[in-house]
Amino acid sequence: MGTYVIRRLLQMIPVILGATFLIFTMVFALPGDPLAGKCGERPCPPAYAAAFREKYNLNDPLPIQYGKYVGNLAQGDFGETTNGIKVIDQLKARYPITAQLALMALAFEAIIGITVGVFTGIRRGGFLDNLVLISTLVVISIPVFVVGGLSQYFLGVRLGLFPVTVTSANPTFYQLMLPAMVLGSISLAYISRLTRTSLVENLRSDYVRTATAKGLRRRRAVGLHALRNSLIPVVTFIGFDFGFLLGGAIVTEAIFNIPGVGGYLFRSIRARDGASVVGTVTVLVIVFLFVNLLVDLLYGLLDPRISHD
Amino acid sequence: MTTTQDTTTPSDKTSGVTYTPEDGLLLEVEDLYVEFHTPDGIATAINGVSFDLHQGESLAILGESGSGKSVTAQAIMGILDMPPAVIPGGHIRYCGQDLLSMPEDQRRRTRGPEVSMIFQDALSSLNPVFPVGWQIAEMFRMHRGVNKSDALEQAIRLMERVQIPAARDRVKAYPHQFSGGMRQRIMIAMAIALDPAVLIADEPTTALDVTVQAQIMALLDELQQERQMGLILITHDLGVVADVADRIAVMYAGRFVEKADVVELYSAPAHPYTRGLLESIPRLDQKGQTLAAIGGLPPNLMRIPPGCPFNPRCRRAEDVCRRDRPELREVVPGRFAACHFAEEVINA
Amino acid sequence: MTDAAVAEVTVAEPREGGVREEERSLASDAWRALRGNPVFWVSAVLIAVFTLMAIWPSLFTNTDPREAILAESRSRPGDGTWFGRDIQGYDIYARCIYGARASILVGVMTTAMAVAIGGGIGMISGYLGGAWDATFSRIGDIFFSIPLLLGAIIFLSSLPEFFNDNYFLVIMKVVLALAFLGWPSLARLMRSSVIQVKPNDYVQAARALGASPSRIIRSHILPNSLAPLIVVATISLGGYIAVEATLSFLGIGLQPPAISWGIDISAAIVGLRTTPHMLFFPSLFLSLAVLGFILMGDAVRDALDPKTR
Repeated sequence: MGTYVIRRLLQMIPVILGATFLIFTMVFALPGDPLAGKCGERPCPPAYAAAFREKYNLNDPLPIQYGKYVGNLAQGDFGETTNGIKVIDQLKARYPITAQLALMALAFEAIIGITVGVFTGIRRGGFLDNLVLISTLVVISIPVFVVGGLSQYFLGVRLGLFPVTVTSANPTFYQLMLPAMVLGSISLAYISRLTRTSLVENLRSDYVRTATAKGLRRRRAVGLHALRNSLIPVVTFIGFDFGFLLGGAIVTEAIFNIPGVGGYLFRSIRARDGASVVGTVTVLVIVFLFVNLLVDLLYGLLDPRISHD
Repeated sequence: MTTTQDTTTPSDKTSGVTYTPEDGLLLEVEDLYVEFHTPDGIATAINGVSFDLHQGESLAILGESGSGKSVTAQAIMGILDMPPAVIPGGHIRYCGQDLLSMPEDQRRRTRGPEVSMIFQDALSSLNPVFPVGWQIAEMFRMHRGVNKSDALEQAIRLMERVQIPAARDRVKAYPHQFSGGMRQRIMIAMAIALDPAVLIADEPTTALDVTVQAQIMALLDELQQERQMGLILITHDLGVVADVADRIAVMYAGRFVEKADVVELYSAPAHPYTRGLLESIPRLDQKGQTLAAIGGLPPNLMRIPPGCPFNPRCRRAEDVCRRDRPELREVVPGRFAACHFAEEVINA
Repeated sequence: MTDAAVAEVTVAEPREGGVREEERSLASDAWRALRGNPVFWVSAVLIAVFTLMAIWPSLFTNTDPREAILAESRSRPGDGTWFGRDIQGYDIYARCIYGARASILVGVMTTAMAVAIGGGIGMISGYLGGAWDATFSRIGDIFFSIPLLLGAIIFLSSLPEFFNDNYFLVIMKVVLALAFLGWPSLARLMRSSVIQVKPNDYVQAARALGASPSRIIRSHILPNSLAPLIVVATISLGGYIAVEATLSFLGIGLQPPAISWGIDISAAIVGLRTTPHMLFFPSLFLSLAVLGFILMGDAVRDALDPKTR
């Protein structure tokens, strides 16, 4: 187990380097000009451009630029934004907000999704089952920005159930509730379908028949024997989804004006603020990889047939 | 037959009902029908089957796949999926009480303490995510209200009883960590945990190596003698049952076509189908000769042919076989067969 | 459990039916199941209609989607047009029809490219194994750790602006971005199905008989490992359409004057309060297109998987 974790951690290093290099290349090396739009409509003054290029090592060949960047990164230096603000401060202020949003979305989709999946799985073919099957399809096929816009309008503006936008730099739980539900909506649909399918499959399994033959109550045969097995793929999906939620936060944060990392990243990309983009994505990739490792370890705990030796 | 109904609080801990066999008669299956209602039509899987089972007796039900033998077992156990399965007629009485008309909760409490079952594929029949000891202990915990550690202790004793080496060390192991034979022993331990009066073994050795098969059959035989259980042995393999079974019922297309004492059936089968089965077993003294196989295939259960269901495959079928369905009848004392020409077959 | 009994019961049927029925192959079985599934027909009709719309929009409308009648701006459905007009006075019906082209083009081309790259790499990884597998798997991990939407935003922002004049070049930009980031999931899938097929006796037999690797792949491995790839590719086609719309919504993918559902939704979401029809129709078209492909993928999977039948 210990060696497995160490091996996985070591494997992460090339992936992190590769991912940051990829982002770094896209931001700094592709033909777009990082100075474009920096000085309004006019081209930047040559002196400013030269200083800018010097500061971000833009005159070095790309691998050396990247090497210098990673060297700084390893020392915890995420560099400065083009406005001279330390990237690390931005990340420190914004990541907790996005993390809270993503965790709320995760809790929302997991609790509701599994509950719905279990109920429809048990009463397969019933009215509720068909209703859920159709409504999850609808949710899956409507893009999140439409769902976001609609729920903001109807639940926020029309019914006044939730705050329409986030107004403070430190959003409250209540302010993040609707955005979290929007962010988790598509995954909610997937989780309920996955739970249902998995439960239906396990209900047919031989060991559930054994549980019945053992004279167990149906509640125990289904709720313990079948469900325990059915949740294995669901947990994997939820873990994997955490990374997706961090990415999906870009749209949700834009709609609800949340001062999280998604909106920051989006503005940084538009402003070609390389250091901000690469720094933000690096943290995101690391979080994603750690969550994946966590999920794999959890998987080993849930399914004794998986061995991590 | 004495049945005491505890009307106060029939909980799982004290099952509330006691079952006592009269004259050793445990199980009476009477004119049982089972149908499967599928989108393609109705398949009659069991078509009027009757038999009795007494204490200490072992009955083998023999048949090809699709003959209805497993469905019979599942109907007795009450673990058929209904729907698609429907039981349109018949009775299954355990110690005089009709299981089919019993309230579901009362019937559930018979599974395990009274009637128990082991399945063909122990790997898929054991829950992969729980330790084997836990799964055995669950019987004591759920039916007897025994606490966790005592139940586990009893599970270890059971594992020792079914000859699992180092049972105490392996009680926390998972099903996939055992060999096929050991897994089947765990299934058996689980099934006999609450000392059931009837044990149904559905192809218990089919998935196992030949040497392991013999060990498992010997264990079943031993346990049956020791506890005087009524044993129903479902199999397609004539060789497996010879040593263990007292009586054999041969099943074909949802019906019993022959019922007899095991020795008599082997020496002189009374139904052409049984004869065919016996002839299809390779024998050392017939080495070099072509093995006789039964031609054709079992009938589609949605369209069982008129007359004798076996007639399309029967070598001696005549017009009467295609016209009249032979009933199961006593050919010679103690021997039943459903064939118009049973007397000739038995003497052939 | 008793499904096994049902299977046991019904298994005798095809035998009796004679030779013709015995020769039923998996493919014809799947086709039979597909034909009987209403979901398949619904999705097939949806896909056919949207494809026709993309190829030949003038078949559905004679109105020019760029004809702005400002005097009738924001007119409601029925006031001379089927779906009403938007802020610019464009006919929303015509815009919806013409918007299909961008979505279908992006969806189909991205899928084709992702399948080619992912399928090829997955095949190589799975078939050759060893160092090839390790290398490609790590590279896949790198791409996998960057969320699709996020990566696409960065990628598209980095490309030079001069592409943006030509409709097809902009489309190709989006396609390139999505395929570039979307192939790893298909590669993983292909790899695992090749690894499942490879040890089968018929493959080993072909190998023992001296068949060349290309022949083994073409006639044995490919036909038996393609099914899951097709299913997932169909479903992700719907996903790519949604991502394209999201990118356009964010102002990163297609830009006006190009016509895209995403652009129209983005323009309409501000006016949600007063003119909901401007949002409703493009959203409906977008969702139906996404739904069509997801349903098709579902139906094909159900047909190929005898367990769920």
